[in-house]
Amino acid sequence: MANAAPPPPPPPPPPPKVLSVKITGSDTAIRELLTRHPMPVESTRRERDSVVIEVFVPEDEVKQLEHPGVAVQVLFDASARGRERQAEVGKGNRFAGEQRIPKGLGDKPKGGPQ
Amino acid sequence: MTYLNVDEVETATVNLAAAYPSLCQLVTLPFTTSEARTSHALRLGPGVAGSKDAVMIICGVHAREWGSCEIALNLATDLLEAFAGNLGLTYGGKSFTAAQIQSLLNTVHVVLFPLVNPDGRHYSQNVDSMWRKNRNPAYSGGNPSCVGVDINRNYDFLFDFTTAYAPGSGVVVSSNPCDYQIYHGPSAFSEAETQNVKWLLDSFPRTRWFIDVHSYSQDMLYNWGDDEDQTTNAAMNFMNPAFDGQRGISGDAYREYIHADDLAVVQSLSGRFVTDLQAVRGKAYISKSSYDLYPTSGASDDYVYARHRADPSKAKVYGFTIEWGTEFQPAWAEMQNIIKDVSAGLIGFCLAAPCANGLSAVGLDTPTINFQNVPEGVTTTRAAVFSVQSCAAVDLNVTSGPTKLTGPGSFGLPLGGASFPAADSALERDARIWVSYTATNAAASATGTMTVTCPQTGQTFVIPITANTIPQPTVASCLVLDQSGSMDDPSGILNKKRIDVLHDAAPSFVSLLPDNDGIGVVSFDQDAYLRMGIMTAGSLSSGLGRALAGAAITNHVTNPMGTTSIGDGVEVGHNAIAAASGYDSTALIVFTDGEENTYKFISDVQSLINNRVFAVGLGTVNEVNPVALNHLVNNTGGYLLLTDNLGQSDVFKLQKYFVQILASATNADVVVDPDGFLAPVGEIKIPFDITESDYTADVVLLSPAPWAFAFQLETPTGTRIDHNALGGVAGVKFNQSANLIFYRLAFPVVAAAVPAQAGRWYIVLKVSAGAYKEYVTSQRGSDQAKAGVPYSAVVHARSSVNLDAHVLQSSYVPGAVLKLHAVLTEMDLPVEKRASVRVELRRADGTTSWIPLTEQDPGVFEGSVVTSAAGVYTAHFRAKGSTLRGYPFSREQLRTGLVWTQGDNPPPTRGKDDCCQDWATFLRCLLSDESLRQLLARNHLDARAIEKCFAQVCKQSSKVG
Repeated sequence: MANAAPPPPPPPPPPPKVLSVKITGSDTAIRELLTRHPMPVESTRRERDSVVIEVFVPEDEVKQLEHPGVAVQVLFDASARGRERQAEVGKGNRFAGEQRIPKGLGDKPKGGPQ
Repeated sequence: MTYLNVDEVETATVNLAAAYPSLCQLVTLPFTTSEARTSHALRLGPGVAGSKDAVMIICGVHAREWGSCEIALNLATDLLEAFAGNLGLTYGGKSFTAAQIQSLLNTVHVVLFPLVNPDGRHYSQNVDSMWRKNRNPAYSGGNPSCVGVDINRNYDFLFDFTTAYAPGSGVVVSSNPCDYQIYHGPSAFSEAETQNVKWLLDSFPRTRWFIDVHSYSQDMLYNWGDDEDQTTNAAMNFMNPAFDGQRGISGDAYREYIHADDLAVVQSLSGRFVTDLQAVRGKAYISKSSYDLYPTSGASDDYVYARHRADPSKAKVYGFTIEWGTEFQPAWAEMQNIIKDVSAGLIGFCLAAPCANGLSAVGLDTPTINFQNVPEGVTTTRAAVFSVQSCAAVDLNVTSGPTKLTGPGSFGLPLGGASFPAADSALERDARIWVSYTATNAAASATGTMTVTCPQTGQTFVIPITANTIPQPTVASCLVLDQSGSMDDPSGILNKKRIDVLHDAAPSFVSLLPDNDGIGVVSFDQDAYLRMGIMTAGSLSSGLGRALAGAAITNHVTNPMGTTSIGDGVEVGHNAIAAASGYDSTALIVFTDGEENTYKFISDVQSLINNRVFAVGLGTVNEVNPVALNHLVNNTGGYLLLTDNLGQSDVFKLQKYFVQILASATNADVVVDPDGFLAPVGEIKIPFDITESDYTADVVLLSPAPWAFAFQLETPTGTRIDHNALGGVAGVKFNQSANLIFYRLAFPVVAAAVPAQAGRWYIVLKVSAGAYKEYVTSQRGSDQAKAGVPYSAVVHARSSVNLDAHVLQSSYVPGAVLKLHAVLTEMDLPVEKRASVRVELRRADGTTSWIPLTEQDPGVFEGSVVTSAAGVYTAHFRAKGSTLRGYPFSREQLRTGLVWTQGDNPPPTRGKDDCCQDWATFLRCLLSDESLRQLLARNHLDARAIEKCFAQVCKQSSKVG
C-alpha cells in the first residue's frame, strides 16, 4: 500500500507591513524599551536632553513600543516604499552570456588627475 | 542599470575574476545557504594569496540593505580597471592618482565578499522588501513566520548576551526564533553565512582590516560595540567573567578595553574614510565607536577584533562597520551617488590602512638558508630574505647565531642584522640578512641555525642553515699557439724573435697552473697540430702534465713557410678540450702574431666556440686582426689582450699577459704586479695585502734571471719565510722554472708557530753582488743590465674579493669611446662604498693618464675615455678598498682597447688562396647536385675524393712566408 503524500506546507503568511518609526525619549527610557522590546536601531541622535532613534517594526508591534517616557511617531510605510523599489531590481541576468562585467561609476583619467 | 538581483551579483563576481585573471582570484565559499546557494568572494591585487596583508570587505549581510553589493562590485570593477590600465580614479570631487591605485593594490590585497546573504536578498527583492535575516527555516518549528537568523548577531562575540550584559542594557539582540529582525540563532556560527565569513578570515590569515558594509545612518563605526571604549584597564574586557552582567550601560563603571594604539588606529582609519567620502559631494558621515548608546552582541566587527585576544595565534584584525545612506533602499539614482561616496571612502581607507599603525607585517620568505656546492676554501654568502610592509622603522636583529651545529666549516654574519627607516608607504620591501659560509672540507656537509627577532612585531624567526662543500673546481686549458713564418720576425726586444718571447712567456702559464687543472697544447700555421692532449698538470715539482706541456712549448717552433689559419687552431684546440673529461670548466688561450690569411678562418669555426676564449695578439692593430679576435672572445667570458709594438721595457709584457690570463682562467685575482730593476743595494720590500677572504695566493717573481734573487716573504707579524728553510712552515710551497720563481700559499700559513693570513705581507728581494755581476755578464754588459736585474712581482689570490673589469668600445675607429667598467664583489655581495677604482690608461700615442672611476651602483665603477690616435689603449684597472672586516685589499686587472682607421670596416680576412677557395666553394656547390654525382658515379668517379683532393691543393697553394 502506497504511503500517503504528506500534507502540503501551510502557505507562507503575507509579509508584514513594516513601518518606519521615530522614538524620542530619555536615554534610560529608550534603554528600558529596547530591553523589553529588542529591535535594531538604525539611527541614533541626541536632541537636547533626549535621544531620538529610528527603528523599523511590523505594524502589529507598534503598539508594543508605547512606553513611559517615550514618544512614538510613525514616519512612513517602509514596506510600501520597498515594494516601489523592487521595481528597480534587475530582471533576468544582465551579466550572463558573454562574460559581461559591470561598469564602474568612477571616472578614470589616464595617469590620474592633474 | 538598476539594483542587481542575486543571480546578477554572483555572475558579475565570477565574470570579474575571469576578466582579470592575473589580478583577481575567485574564491568559492564552502558553505551553501539553506536555499542551496553557493557564494563567491574576490581577492583583488597581484601576487599569490597570502603574500600581502589584506583588507576584507563583506557586503549584503542584511537582506534589505541592497546597495551594499553594488558598492562591493563597483569597488572591484573600478580598482581592477584602473590598476590594469594604470589609470587614476575620480568620484565627484575626490580623485586618486594612477600611482595611488597602483600603490594600493601593490601594497595590500582587497578581499571582497559582495553578497553574504543571497537567500535573504532574494526574499527581500521579491517578497518582503524589509526582510533583514537569512532564510534558514531550521529553528522555526514549521512556522513560516519564524524563519531566519540575523547574521550579524550570530558571530562568536558575547553570544550569551543574557550572561554578558547588564540587565536593562538594551542590547539589540533576541533569542526568540520568531523575532522578525534580530534572532541570533541557537549558537554562534550556526549559520552557513557566518561560517563562510569565518572561513574567509581563516583562509586569509593576513587580513588586518575588516569592514562590514551596512545601511543606514551615515556612520563609520569602529570597535567596540558592546560598551564604551577605555584604554587603561586591560583586565576589564569581554573575556573576563568577573564583569559578566555589567556590560552595555553607558556612563557606568564597565567599559571595554582597547589598547590606546589600536584605538588610535581605528579612529585614524575611520576618519580617513569619512574625509575621503565627504570629498565626493559633501556628505558628512560620522566616525564613532559601534557602541552608540545601545550595545550589540554577536556582531562581525567585534568578533574579528576579539579573535586575536581570545586566540593569540590569530592575527589582529581591526573591525569596522559602515552604515551608508539614510534609508535601506534609496532610489537607484541616489544609490549611485552613495556608491561613489562609499567607494571613495573605501579607497582612502585602503590607502591609509598599511600606515595607520605604522607597522604592517614582517614575513620570512626563505625558511631555510642553503649553501649548495661551495668549493673548498671559498667563503660565500646567502641571504635570509624577509618581506617587510611597514611605514614605521623596522629592525631585524640576529639574536642568536649563525651557529654551526654539525660538520666542518664556519658560518658568519658579515653585515649584521637589517633595519628599515620609517617610510611614507607600506609597499612591500625586501630585507636581507647575509650569512657567510667558509667551506673547508670537500664532500662534507654542515648544518647550523640562526635566530632573528623583530622587536616591533615581537616575531622570532629560527632559520635552519645547511651547507655542503665540493672540491675546488678544475679548469682544462688549451694553449693554441701560432707557428707561422712571421714568428721568426724581430720582437722589438733586443735579440729576441717573436718565437723567443713566446718561449719566455708561455711556460709561466704552465708553471703556475693549479695541480688538478688540465693543460693541452696546439700549434697552428695553415693547419693545426695537437702537440699534447689535455692532461692534468700534477704537482708543482714533478707533475707529468706540467712537464709535457713545458716540453710541447719548447718544441713549438716556427714554420718559415707557414701561413695563419686561426680557425684550424681553434678547431683542434676545441676538439682537444672536448675529448677531456672530469673538469669543471674550460678555457682556450689563442696566441697569434698576425692576421689570419688561410682557411679555416675564425668565422668558419664560430659554432665551435663554447669555451671561455682568451686571445693574445703579439703586434699592432695593423698586424693582428682585432675584429676577428674580438669575435673569438666576445661573450665567452674571456677577453683579448694586444701587446702593440714591444720595446726594451716590455720584457715582461707577454709573460704578464699569460700570467693574468691564467689567473682569469682559474678564477684567481691579481693583487699587485709591480715591475723594477734591482741592483745589489740591500734588500727591498714590496708590500701586498692579504685579506681574510683570500684562501690561497701565488707570490710570483718573473725575471729573466730569477736565480739572481734572494726571495723571501714576510708575514704581517714580521716572520720571514725563506724557500731554503721551509721546515716547520705549514701552508707554503715553492717552485721555480727558467723565468720565474714563486711561493704558493694556502691560508692560514703557519710560520714560527704563528698563523698568518690577513694583513700586510711583503715580498723581500735582494740581489747579491756576485749574482748581479753574473747577470750583467750574461747580458754582455749592456747599459740596461747595469741598472739591475729586472723583475716583476705578481701576487694572485684565490679569494672571495673579486674584481671583474671590462673595456667596452662604442666602435673600433679613432674617436671611439672606451667605457671603463669594473665590478667589485666580496662574498658575491657588492663592495659598496668601501673601495675606489682607478685606471692607468696608456694611450696609443704613448701618453699615460690616471682615470678615477665613479661608483655608479653599489660595487659598480665606471668611467670613460675618448680615443684619438689609432692603436692599442692599455687599461690597467687598480682597485683599493677594505673588506667587510676592515682589512685593506687591492686588486688589479689589465685590459686593452683597440682602434684603427678601418676598425669598423676591416678588409675581409682572406689570403692569397682566395681564388682557390672560391673554386673550392664552386666545386662543392656543383658536386652537391645529385644528378651530377650520379653521372660521376656511373663513370666510377668518386665526387667526395675530388672534393677532398681540391681542398688539399688549396691548402698547399696558400703557403706564404
